[in-house]
Amino acid sequence: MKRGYLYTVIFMAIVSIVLTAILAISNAAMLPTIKDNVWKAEQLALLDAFGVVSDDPEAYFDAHVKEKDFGTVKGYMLEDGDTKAYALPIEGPGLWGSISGYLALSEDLKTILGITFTDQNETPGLGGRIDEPQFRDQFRGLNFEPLRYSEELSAITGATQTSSSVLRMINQFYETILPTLEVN
Amino acid sequence: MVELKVIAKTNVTKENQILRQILGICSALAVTNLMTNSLVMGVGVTFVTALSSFTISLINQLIPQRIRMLIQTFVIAFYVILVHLFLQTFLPSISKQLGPYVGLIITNCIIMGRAEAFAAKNPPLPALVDGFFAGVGYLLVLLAISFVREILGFGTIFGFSLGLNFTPWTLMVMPPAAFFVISILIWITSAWAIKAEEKGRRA
Amino acid sequence: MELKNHFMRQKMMTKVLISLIPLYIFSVWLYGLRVLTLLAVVTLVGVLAEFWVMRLIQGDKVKVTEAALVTCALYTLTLPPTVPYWIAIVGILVALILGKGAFGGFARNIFNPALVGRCFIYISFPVQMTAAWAKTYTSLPGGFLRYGVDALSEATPMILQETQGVLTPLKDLFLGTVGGSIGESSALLILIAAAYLLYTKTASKTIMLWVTLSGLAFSSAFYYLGYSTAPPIFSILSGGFLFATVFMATDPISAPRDTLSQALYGIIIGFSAIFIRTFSLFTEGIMFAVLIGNSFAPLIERTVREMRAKRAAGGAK
Repeated sequence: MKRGYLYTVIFMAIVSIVLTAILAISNAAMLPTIKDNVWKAEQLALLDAFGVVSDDPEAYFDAHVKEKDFGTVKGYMLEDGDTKAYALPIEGPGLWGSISGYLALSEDLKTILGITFTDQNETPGLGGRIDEPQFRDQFRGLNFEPLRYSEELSAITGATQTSSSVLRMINQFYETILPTLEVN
Repeated sequence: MVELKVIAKTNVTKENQILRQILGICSALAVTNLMTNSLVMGVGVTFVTALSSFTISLINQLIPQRIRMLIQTFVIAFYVILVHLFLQTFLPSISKQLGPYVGLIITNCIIMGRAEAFAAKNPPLPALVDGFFAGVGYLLVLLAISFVREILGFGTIFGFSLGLNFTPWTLMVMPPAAFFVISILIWITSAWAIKAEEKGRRA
Repeated sequence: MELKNHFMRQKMMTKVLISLIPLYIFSVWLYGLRVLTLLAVVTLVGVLAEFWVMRLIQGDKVKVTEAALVTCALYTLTLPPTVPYWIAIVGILVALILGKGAFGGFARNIFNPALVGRCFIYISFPVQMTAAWAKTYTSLPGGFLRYGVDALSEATPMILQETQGVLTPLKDLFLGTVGGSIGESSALLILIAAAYLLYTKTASKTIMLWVTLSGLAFSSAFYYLGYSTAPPIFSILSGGFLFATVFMATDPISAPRDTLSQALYGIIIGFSAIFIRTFSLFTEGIMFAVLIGNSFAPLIERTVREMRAKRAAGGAK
């Protein structure tokens, strides 16, 4: 059946309007949940960096963690009784894409409380293992100074490049951002 | 109704999209290191293939020929975005692991292939069945590949440890391993197909 | 069914096997009798694998070629002396079934099967393949009366050079009293084997020459331009460079056949090996380099042939 140009244009327009409308509605309906999911994941990551274990992470987060402006960067501050701690964003190139996360520091900025990664695309099972507690927990309680891999702090076997990227991120933060932080 | 059964069966076996038509290989390489990822990806593709085939068959009479493929892509994209939104909302961690591959379902050759080869020439119900089972065939192969890769690469199935004390095969975690596993699967199934054909000829 | 009906002798391959004997004796001295049991296990599994896969292709007239024995013997020499038996078995299965059988068997494989197997296990099991190196025995009776090595984790000359900047004396590299894969240690023995192979016209001298020249040229270039800290002679003598040049690059199946193509092929291998060593995370690159060379071989050969045909046609006008 041969049809004219006008029909083609009208048909295309109708299809576009119908499909786009459905997508727009679904998007509007789901977007709050999606944003909420992302935020929840971020909260969990932050608490993990601080080393906080809580039955109700959301409530704990709302009660004790606040956003904080450190002058050069924006991060988070944890206040629970007498303890105070900071979480600062770190970022750097990984093997396949950029890695970003948070570095949690003690109040005097001299001890690493923990590290967490919110976004990374490293090889699953190799570089991707920087997400695993076995790797990340090694950083807890270390003096914050330029780090290198040693017997106490071991790189992931078979993922040298990703492991060194992580250290490079931390050391770069130590050298360039740490001196500029305004804590009070 | 017999015909629908045949459509369903051949799509999973004799004309399996990955093993016999060698389509949809890219995603089969990328997401098959974990069975959970494969399952979600396979279900997503099945959903998109079934419904886009159904929709295209439904409106096929109305589609002007010169923009036929444009409309097909449009319909497929529509369903892919729905799947993407759904995963982000209800399965956020898996959505993150699958990364760009959900969006890339749109480029999966199987979907366009079924739309062009079947949905555009058949009524809606058979098109739905055809699309659905083409997706199921894809899903089963993905699961088979990731079964091998997850056991050898991580020592787990669907994330559950098998309690094996063994050395993981690093290569199995990386996409190139899927080449080995897929090609061995294709080898085995082609050998079967040839045997079945010879038997058929003799009979 | 007589066993000898299922074995195909290949004169060239016998010569390669003979050339490997000194390397095996020397490596037993360095690493103990385990080298020989490893060879036995690899050969047994390899022959069975080849028999099985070739039976699928040839049916009852199946023949295991002597080339399969060469693959097993060469493959074993590329392994670290401490490699677990099961990893060696996985590698030889991949080598003969996927690297050779899947392509159709003898003379149809694109890649050197021994290296395909080696590469597969190298990427799959990086810890077992690179982390622990054996300390060598250097006095009499050495390893001749012992099963395996006693002490571990002496870094190889290349690892020492890359991580600590320590250069192993060239004399040690040349004689081979250094750690590493089973067969790569002694430059002297590899050169003797090369001389034998060249004298009996078993291996291509063009390939050996050009891989070495290209390796020397590019390692000098990278060294003097400041990209690399490994002096050229060290580069050639250390790691598996000579071993792969003499035994792997010259594999008549996966290498091109005419002289010009062989020279180009050699240049690609020498360049890739040094390039990977200098710029990538891998300490050794010769294994990848030969496989890269293999994948270019058909293209080089075809291009050279077409160029010649064109020139001949032009001359005829």
